[in-house]
Amino acid sequence: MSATTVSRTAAGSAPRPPRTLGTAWVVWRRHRIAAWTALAVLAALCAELVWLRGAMTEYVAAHGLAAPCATEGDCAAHAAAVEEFGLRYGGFLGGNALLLEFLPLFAGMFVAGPVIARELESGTYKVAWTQSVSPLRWFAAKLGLPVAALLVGASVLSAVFLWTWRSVGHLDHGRLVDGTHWYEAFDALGPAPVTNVLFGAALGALAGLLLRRTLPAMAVTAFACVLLYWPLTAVRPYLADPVTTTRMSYLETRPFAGKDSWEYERGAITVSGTRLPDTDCHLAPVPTDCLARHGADGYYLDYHPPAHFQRLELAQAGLVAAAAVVCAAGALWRMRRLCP
Amino acid sequence: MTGLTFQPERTALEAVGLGVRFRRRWALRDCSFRLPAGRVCALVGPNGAGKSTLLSLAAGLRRPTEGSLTVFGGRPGAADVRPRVAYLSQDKPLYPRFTIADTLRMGRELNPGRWDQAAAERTVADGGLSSGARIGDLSGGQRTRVALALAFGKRPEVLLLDEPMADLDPLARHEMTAALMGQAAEHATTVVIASHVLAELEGVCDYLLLIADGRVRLAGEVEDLLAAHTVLVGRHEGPGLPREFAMHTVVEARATGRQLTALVRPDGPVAGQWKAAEPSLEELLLAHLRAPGAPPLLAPSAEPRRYRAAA
Repeated sequence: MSATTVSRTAAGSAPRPPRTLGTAWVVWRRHRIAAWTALAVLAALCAELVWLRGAMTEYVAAHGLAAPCATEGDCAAHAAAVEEFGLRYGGFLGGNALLLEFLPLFAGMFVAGPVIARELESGTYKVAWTQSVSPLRWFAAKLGLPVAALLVGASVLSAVFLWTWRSVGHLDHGRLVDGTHWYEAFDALGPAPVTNVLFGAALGALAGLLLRRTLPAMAVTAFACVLLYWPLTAVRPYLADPVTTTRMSYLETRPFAGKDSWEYERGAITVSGTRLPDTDCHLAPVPTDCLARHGADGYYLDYHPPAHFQRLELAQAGLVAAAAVVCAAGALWRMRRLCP
Repeated sequence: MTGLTFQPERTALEAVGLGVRFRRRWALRDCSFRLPAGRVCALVGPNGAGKSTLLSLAAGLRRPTEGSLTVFGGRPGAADVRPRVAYLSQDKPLYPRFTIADTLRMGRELNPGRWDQAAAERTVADGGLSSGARIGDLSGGQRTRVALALAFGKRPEVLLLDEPMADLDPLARHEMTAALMGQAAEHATTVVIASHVLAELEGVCDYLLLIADGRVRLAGEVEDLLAAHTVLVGRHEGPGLPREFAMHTVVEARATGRQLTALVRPDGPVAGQWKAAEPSLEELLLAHLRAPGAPPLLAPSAEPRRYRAAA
């Protein structure tokens, strides 16, 4: 009893140093306006997605769109309801998907400019580096906190968007979400936004550290994000083995895959199995003559059924995360060179 | 306390064969000197002489290309050296959106266990600045004051100041100099002030480091350096220097009509009809800046210890 009293008074009488958060406080103070703004935008988007999901499921229930039309006579009304659904909610879904697809670009620009390059450009890093913490620890906090916040924000937004999209995404073989099919809104669904944001941030850090000027770093990051999006979409269908179907007639390949499948490559096929993707024989006046001229005798179609969604998402997440690691390694190398 | 300020045996800064190269140009080359602890040292030289480079090396912001620079025997920027050094760079960068209170809080957060909030607040308050003012709204001189407060709050053992007074008005310059000297005397801080304004150094500094073209030209106690030089004035006609100067080191000689004025490092008594006087600090510096060919002079206390041990 007495021992605790003594130790307590001893602790109380000593001038206790004020609680410090270290570099984290400086990073927070430096970017707090951006942080509050991002948080407000995130909250608004989540609220909007919750509302959108409610409105869409209500509409689906009211018009019986959960299943394709069963009896012949109702199909006109059903089709009209589907069209009305697209007019009402297609824009919202598409807009939100687009925003999620551009999220890595915004994240990259933020990290490249305000977080890294502005410090190096304005010389404020000199103040931080000549205090008691080491430059590497300063960089760790400077990059770690915003990137962690970006990843958490992207995860939350992606999860809420997926939850909203799933409520109607598979109904009527995806006809309700024309334009935002799973393979069209691929970069807005599942882990894709999170890994894309990670890559954008790593790329931004590398650009900021290399260029050391705010505007060029932001511009190069944005440009590189847009430029790298093209090879990503080009390589995406090959990240998992597709389902291939071959038919004698072009028309026969069409309904085979199902409306919600991602048909990404079709063309003519020869007897020996050689693929000729660009013959366009189905457009020729007499397709059979055209096929004969190319030595082909049928058509093939490569597609991913909706069941491939998860495995494609995971494969792309792995690929993008690996690219992010490469950029981060480059940034770390550059950082170590900048640090005295 | 004042007894602490004179510590001739402790070394604050020591450079041996120090060189820094920017692409093709050498900003510093073959620099060797020693700065004893507790001194207030003027780092003087023309624009582009390498003053800022030297200070940023000591602050741990840059690595030397060759040779070495140590602060209290350690590498600048090492974990046990960094907390003991404060640095004020020429452009005084601070976050423009931070208030003064935020800036001092930053000092506290980044210097755990070292920060002297009272000293920092006093420096700011002495300038009549309110802690709620934003850095971006301050004048250049006021920003300098906040940057100095940040440096004082760290309780440094070495304070490196790069052109600290350049944007201060004469009154503020006087006040800041007094604050600086008070700080230095109270905590036995070693201070290095880089400047090309000679007036702001006279009477403040007791140590001198003159660099030009990236090399050390003069280093040592101001008193000793002044005593080692003599201004000789007398009549001389004809080309070349008088013969009696041959045994001394002539830093600079200028003829106006028949009168010759020379700054020499006498080696023994000077023969002939010459009026001898000790130079002022300004005369000494100007003569050396005008005569880049003069051999460098390092006072014994300014010779690197490791250098001597090796020799």
